[in-house]
Amino acid sequence: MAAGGTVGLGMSVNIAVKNLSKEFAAHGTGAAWKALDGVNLEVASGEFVTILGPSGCGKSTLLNILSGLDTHFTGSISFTQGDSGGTARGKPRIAYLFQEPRLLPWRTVRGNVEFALDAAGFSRSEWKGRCNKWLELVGLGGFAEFYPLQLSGGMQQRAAIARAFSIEPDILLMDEPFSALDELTARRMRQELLDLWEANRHSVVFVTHNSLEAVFLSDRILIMNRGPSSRVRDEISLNHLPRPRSYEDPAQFETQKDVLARLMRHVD
Amino acid sequence: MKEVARGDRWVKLISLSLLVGLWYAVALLPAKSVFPPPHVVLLYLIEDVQSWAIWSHLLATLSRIFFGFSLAMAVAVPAGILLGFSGLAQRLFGTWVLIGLMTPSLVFIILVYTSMGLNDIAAVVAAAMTVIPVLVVNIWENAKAVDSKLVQMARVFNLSTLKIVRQIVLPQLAPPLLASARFGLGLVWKMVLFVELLGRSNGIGYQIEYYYQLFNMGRVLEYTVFFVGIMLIIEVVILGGIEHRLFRWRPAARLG
Ligand SMILES: Nc1ncnc2c1ncn2[C@@H]1O[C@H](COP(=O)(O)OP(=O)(O)OP(=O)(O)O)[C@@H](O)[C@H]1O
Ligand SMILES: [Mg+2]
Repeated sequence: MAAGGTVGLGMSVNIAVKNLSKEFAAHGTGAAWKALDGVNLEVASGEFVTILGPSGCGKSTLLNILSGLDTHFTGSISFTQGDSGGTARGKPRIAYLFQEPRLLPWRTVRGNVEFALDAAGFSRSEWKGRCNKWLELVGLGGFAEFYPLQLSGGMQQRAAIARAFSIEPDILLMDEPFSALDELTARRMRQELLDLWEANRHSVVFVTHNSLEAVFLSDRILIMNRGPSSRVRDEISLNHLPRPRSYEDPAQFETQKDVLARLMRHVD
Repeated sequence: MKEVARGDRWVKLISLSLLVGLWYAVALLPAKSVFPPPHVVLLYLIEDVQSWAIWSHLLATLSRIFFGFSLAMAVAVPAGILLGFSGLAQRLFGTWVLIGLMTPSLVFIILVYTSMGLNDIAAVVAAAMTVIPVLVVNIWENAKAVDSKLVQMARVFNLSTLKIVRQIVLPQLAPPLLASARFGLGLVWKMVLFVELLGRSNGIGYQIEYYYQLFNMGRVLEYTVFFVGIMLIIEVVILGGIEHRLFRWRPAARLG
């Protein structure tokens, strides 16, 4: 994928992945490891899709490919502009939240957000306003001049979220961003994420192996099987669960049991 | 933190007194006149620092250290980084570095003096040459430690390669480079004394050699104490200060 001009309008984008396969050359033994084998998936513009699968099924591999970090694969990926339905020009603006915050430790929280704004090509005059706005929204308004190592893990992940949202991405990729947090913090962050997403509506691909999290967040859940030869094996729509959702809702609980049962089928 | 610092100061004081005590013990051994006790050396020093001579020798040595150190870093930093990031450079020049490491410093110094003459430029080049191989290896090792996860992150955010080097790679290399600089300075100043002894007619190294010829251990120790003291100040105040300013972002690391 060539790095062209960005769409960068803060619009969401349709994602279509067709027959995507990825092999890793295994070290030593010679046999290749077929991590992904014919993945098909679609994400509608503004949709929140969660990919659920056991450890090692290739979720991170898939996100690395979607983000453009990994360009060695077969199959096709297309991004099309959401509202007009026309083909997006160039590369959509992508934000990728990793499992760890991946902040630059030698820059302040503000510096980290500005880093992304600079990379995304926002003019310097906009930095301060955007930075303040997003730090405020993730509850770090008073911590702009702190260095990442002076913050707790949850606050660092918030800073990473502010950094991701600040560039107004067309697509947001998230790789288990809350799995390193305690459940209480994770719950609060999930709610904050949904609030931000409701207000901005970019397309989200969220990866997790936590079915509770998947049911709470998504419009749709895609289940992948344990590798090798992972692909999307099952699909569960959550449109019957109204938003805002609550962990105590019995319907949601029933759905989670169903999701878990269907996940189990693809683990063994 | 403050408590720790105060306790630390006491330990340092005790350790220094122990060293002075040990010196006295050695001085009291039979060959007393050869190895004078600390207070005699201190008196020499107090007498000498009031005259210009010792300072002019210091100035000569410090300027050689400065230029030798700069030259060594100017060669070793790019070479080390290149070796760390490029497999081709590693295959091409890895052996050179190894040979450089194995060659005795004395050989470098003799080679440089014989080919360039007994002058100050040769002294600087000789001092630099002896430490470059060690420094290159040191920086080469450190260059391997750059976090590829942050580089990936920057790439997803669409940062240009030039900016990745400036904003992601160099800041990560700064701490090990500073450590290498301190290490390099320590190597260079020792080599400069050696180089002065072999082919210059001023400087601390020359003075130490001169008094050694006269078997005047008091003066030898006087120059040694004087010089080590100055280098300690440079190391702690200047380089320590730079380190403190560069690494404010590492609050926890300072405890170690
Ligand atoms: N660089 C690599 N070289 C070889 N094999 C790899 C590489 N990266 C991943 N793999 C293999 O591909 C498979 C999928 O890895 P991936 O990291 O995508 O899994 P995951 O679903 O994200 O797992 P987790 O939930 O534990 O993060 C694993 O079997 C892994 O061993
Ligand atoms: Mg993973």
